[in-house]
Amino acid sequence: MLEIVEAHFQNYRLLRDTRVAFSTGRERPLTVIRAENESGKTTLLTALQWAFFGDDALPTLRGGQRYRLHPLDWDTSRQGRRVEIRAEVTFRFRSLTTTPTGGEQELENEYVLQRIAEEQLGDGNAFDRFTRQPTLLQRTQAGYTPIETNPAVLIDSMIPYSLKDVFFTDGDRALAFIEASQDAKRERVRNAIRSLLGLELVEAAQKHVAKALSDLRRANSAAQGGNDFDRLTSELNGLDDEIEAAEARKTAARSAQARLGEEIVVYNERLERALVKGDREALSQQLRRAQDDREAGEHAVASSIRDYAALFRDSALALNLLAPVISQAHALLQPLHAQGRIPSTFIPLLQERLRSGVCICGRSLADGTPEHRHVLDQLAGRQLEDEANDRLGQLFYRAETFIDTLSNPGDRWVAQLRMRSARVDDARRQRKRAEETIRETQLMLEQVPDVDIVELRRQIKDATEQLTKQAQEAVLAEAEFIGLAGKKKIVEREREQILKSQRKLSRQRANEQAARDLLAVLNGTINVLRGEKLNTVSDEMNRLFLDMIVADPDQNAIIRKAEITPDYDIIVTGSRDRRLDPDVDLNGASRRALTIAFILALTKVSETAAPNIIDTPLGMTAGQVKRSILEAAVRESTQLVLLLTRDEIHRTEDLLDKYTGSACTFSNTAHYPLQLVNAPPFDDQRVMVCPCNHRQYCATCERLHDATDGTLRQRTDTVR
Amino acid sequence: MTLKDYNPFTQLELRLPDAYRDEVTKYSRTFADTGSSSKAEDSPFERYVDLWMASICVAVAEGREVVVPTATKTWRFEYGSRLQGQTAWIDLLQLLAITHFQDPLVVADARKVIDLANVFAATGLPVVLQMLTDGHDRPLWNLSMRMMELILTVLPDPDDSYETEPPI
Amino acid sequence: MAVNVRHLTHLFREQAEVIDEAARIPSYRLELLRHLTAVIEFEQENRVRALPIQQRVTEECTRLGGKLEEGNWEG
Repeated sequence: MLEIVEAHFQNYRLLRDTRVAFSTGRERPLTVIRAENESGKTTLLTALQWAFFGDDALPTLRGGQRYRLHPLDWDTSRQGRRVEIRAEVTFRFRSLTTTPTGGEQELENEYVLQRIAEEQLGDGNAFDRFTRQPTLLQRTQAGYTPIETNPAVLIDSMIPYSLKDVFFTDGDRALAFIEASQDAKRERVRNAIRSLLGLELVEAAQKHVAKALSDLRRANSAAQGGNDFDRLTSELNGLDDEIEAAEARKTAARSAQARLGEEIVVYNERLERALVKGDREALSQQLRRAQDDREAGEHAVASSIRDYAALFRDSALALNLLAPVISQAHALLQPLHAQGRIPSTFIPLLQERLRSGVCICGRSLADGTPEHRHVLDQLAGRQLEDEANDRLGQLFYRAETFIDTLSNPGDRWVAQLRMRSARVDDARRQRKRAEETIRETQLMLEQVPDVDIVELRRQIKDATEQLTKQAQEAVLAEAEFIGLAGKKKIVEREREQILKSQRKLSRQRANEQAARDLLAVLNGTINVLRGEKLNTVSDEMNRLFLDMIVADPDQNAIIRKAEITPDYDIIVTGSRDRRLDPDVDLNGASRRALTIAFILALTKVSETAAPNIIDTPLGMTAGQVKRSILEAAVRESTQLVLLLTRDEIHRTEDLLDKYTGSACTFSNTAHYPLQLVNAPPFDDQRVMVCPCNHRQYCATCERLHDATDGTLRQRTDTVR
Repeated sequence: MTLKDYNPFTQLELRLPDAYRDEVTKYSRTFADTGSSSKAEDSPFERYVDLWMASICVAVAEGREVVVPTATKTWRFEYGSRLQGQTAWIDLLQLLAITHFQDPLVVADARKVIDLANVFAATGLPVVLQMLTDGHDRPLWNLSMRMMELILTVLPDPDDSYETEPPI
Repeated sequence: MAVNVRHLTHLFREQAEVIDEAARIPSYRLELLRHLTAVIEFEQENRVRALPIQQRVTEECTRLGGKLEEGNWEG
């Protein structure tokens, strides 16, 4: 376990001559450094990282610019162009070693790490830097003596470089574990977990031991010189390669399955959202049908109106309007009919008598007789009158027919008018319905997201097919793996038999066996790290996270679980296992809480005891969540250093009273007079350190409004 | 000769007052596209003879005094041959003449019947034209409303529950 | 012991249980753990400064093999 005792920086940017003492020990593990923005918080963080890890740990700037170490306002005319930057960190390292008998022994050493760089300033912003090798002194009874081991090696064994962002956490940038692009996030989480769990080391060891085994087999084979043995050795090494390839294929297939599974989930969610709004294709078809209906409606309206208009040339109109005339005419014709004068029967009778040749009185009407000529004269004289009588007879009967027709209300013109107008109304309603459907459908179409549902469905289908293929591939690779492993056992046995039969090769056999045993332990360890340990980190992160946000009812209502997937994604799920998007569904406080929970879980599960130094951990948090994060961090850390602004401290004073073992305040001289009340005793830009804790202020750190802040009291005992 | 071939007015002239010639053209679809429904709403009468016959009937139904000043200029829009096949109309014109002249034998004088018809047409035409514009709707619907009202005065509905509002 | 190696040794110890000492030599597991720890330490050092790591690892394998032979392991 590493504990920082003290740090001293000179000429490191604003830290012209800054000394900070840190709290050690479990009772009050918290060190609070109160500092407002631009007061050196982040500078202290980078300074500590530089002290431990050197130039590689410095921030990278845009455009490839190098990170400047010397103070910005270095006066070359007074102080020269050469700036010496010094960092000195005193720390304790306590380790538990495992004895050969399986017991544990605690060793504690105190060290001082010194790192010095020189920057030679040129014109403008140009500078050259030379960083010396760090010096590591170990405290002994004789004082501090340099250690012989390469300091970098020793430091890395105590606090690995790959974990610098885990132990030295810039609160704003730490969110890179849960924000940023998917690949970037995954990579950071993966690196942090793998490094802290030691997976990188074990995998590297596995690779080297496997190679050693392969080399030993070949060496045995060369020594053995027998064909069978050669063949079996070669076959064995070949099988190892094939097994590795099969495993790699299986892993790749499983990875692809996981990725495709996620893709399908995302596509389905997108499809569901789009379908709720409406299926664009279905709506388009509906629109076309409605347009067809409208056209049919137009035709129906046109046709029904034409039918309607036809009533104005229908004889029924004249019939209805002239009804009184018809009755009167009928009345005039009636007597004629009654008298038998209409229709005329006289002419037909005469014609019939002429044909018969005998008159009704019995006289002959033969051709040439006077009677014949008389009848002809009668016929000629009354022709016209009889034509008229015939017509009158027709009119009489027609009038009766008309009167009959008019007596039936259903046949009347008005009834026909009503019927045909109802048809026009129906046709118009049909057209109107179609128009309304068109309008509604167009509105719905406008609201449907421009999501090609057909394309989405195709993507889902493709991904599902791919998933099936990958599942098959995984099964095949597994089967191949099993087959190869079985074959390997047989070949190994055969080879062992040959080895056994030759005593002189017992050493070679023993070497191979040793390598195999080492490999077996490494393989088993890797499986555990990749499986159980990852799950343990995930569970622990979830527990801490839910503890922290329990105080936020809104977030607590929607968040069910946080976990780390086998692909190293940190995901948060809500009800019904719906995946939440941290950028959208989590507020700032929850995102910070999740990041801190991840870091704390990782350090705990990996049994790594190192300081957690967090710059602005409580930014964007408020109320109870802020307190929950603070308490969780204190509880789970072995040494916790928080760099807090007054805003972050607000409403956590009682917790800080309880846990703080060491405190100080940073103030930037440049903040006078706008924020600092008193003029600093320095004429350069620097961080001033005073021993004020979160409830105090003094002549050095007093800011505007401190005097009226009821939570603060003035210290008068500090030296400026 | 069958009834449907009977047309004593073939050579005779069907006439309407010249003063209304433009309107007669406007409200008839004789030279227009008879297939268009919007034309039908603006020009309810398919042919001039339809308007002529309607004018006669409206004049009779309204009981208008049939007096047409001799100075009234008229225009022959058709010959009586146009009435070929319009059996009912021919019957009704003759019945009208019988009633007007109180003489059944007037049917023998086709010219007299048509002259009477032309006079009634001249009397009724302004009324029909008025019906076409009387209202806020298009001519077909205005005409329907007025025509229905007129017919119901001539032939009241036996069932009072019938609506008297125009259909549209 | 390195900061993140302690928990590894616990895991190694658990995994080493699968090796049947009766089929090896007495105290073989302890020897195995010792050499395995050495391998891990070499790997750690190799991250910071280049070592002939493969050679070192192979040597640990052969040293452990030597223990087997010295213990008259029959195989």
